[in-house]
Amino acid sequence: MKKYLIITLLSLSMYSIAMAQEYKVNKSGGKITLDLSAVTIEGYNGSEVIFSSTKDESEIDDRAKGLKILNGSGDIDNTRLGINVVENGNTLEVHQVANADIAVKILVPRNIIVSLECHRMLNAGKIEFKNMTNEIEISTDYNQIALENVTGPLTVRALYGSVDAKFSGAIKGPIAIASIYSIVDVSVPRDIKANVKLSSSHGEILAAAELKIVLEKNKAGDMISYGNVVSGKINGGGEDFKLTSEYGKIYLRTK
Amino acid sequence: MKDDLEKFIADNRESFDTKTPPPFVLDRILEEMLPEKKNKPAGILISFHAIRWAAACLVLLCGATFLLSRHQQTANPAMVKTKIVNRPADTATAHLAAANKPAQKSVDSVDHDLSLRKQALLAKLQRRRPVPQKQVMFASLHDMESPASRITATTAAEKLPNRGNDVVDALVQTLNSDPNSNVRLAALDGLARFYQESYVRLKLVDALKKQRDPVVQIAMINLLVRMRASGILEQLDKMVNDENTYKAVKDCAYSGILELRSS
Repeated sequence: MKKYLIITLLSLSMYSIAMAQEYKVNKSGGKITLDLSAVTIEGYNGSEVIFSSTKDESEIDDRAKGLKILNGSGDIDNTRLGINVVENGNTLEVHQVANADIAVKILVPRNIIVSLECHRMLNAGKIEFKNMTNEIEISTDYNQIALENVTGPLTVRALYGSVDAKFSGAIKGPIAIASIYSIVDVSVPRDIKANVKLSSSHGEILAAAELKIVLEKNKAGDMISYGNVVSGKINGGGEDFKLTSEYGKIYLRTK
Repeated sequence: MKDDLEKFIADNRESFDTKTPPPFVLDRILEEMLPEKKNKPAGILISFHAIRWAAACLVLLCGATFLLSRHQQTANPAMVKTKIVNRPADTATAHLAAANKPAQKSVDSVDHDLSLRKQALLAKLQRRRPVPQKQVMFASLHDMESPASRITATTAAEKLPNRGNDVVDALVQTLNSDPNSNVRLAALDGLARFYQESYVRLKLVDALKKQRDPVVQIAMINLLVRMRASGILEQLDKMVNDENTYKAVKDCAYSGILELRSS
């Protein structure tokens, strides 16, 4: 009942700003879960989650004027951006309503955990995160993932799409990127403090020489070292920094 | 050239000012100025009607604040009273303790006294001892909002003593039911430390049947093959023959079967 009330309120408020192609929700803590096949997410200092379209004027479908995107899953496009946004307790849920026609940018305040999960095969696009000090959780199959100017904590689980991550500043929490086929390309500042563990059974592990990784030799009875595992400390050690790809190459470079 | 022009202008300034506006322009300006003057009142004029309303509001506001403050005052004594009620109870226990020495007490009162002392002691202990590290770890393993704090908890779990397999059980539960693959992988790494225990071996063989994510499946097969856990052969055969299994997982299962059978 409450959910319906929220939906109606949201859709009512949506009408007032429909023309602006921007949708805002007040939120300064908790979590956002996204189920989108392509999206750009940026961190900013504010207290509203702001959804906007990244489409050019030319890309807007004139025939669609006055019409709404429908979807068999029952989610209603209450933002006019092809997505459905619902508040569920402390979590803001974002579902995809449009099939392919999606070009959304989301501005997210600090301190909100952002969780993206997309296992669609068709129309799997690029997922970008920029300027985030937030905790990020990503789980995808085919999407290309690009993270820029992030600090962690970060957990990424990918299957086929490449993962590019550029860290800046001190790492704020455990970093874990795991994949089977993805290329994992990570760049970190030179003064990073971390306990790194890089592993790949069939791929290659490459690291910059400037990063003086003090390697820990694998002991004979050490069961943690399955496959090719490199573990060691950078600058005395710090947060856990784990990169795994079964078949993909792993690159660890400095900025 | 320029100087000449300036000089000429300076000399003949008066002759430039020959044109005067027609008189009706001045009239119009004066006319425009007049009503403005009228509009500006000398002081702030508030009708008596408005003042009456304002006064009524003020009275209401005063009344409300007065009532509110009185209400709070009545609330405060209540709190003080309850505090006072508490204290006699304390002194009563002290009395009880003091009166305990001269014996001649019914069994009931002794029991009561004992339970009171026990409670006080427990409270004191709880206050003195911080929540154990393990409890904190187990609690944050269930922090569903933040996967990072769950990973941190699994790494902390590796360093804790495993009494009665409580740490192993917690990690196995995370490995089987955590929604985040990276957290499950971290739990697997944590369990790998206890690889020599047959209990862990059993649990891991069992967990392989439950795992659905290919990323975690491969890591589990790799670990179990290294552990020479031939108990997974049946499950590996099943995976190889299941058409829903990912190709990478199948390859891994094949090589696992070869390695386990050859040894």
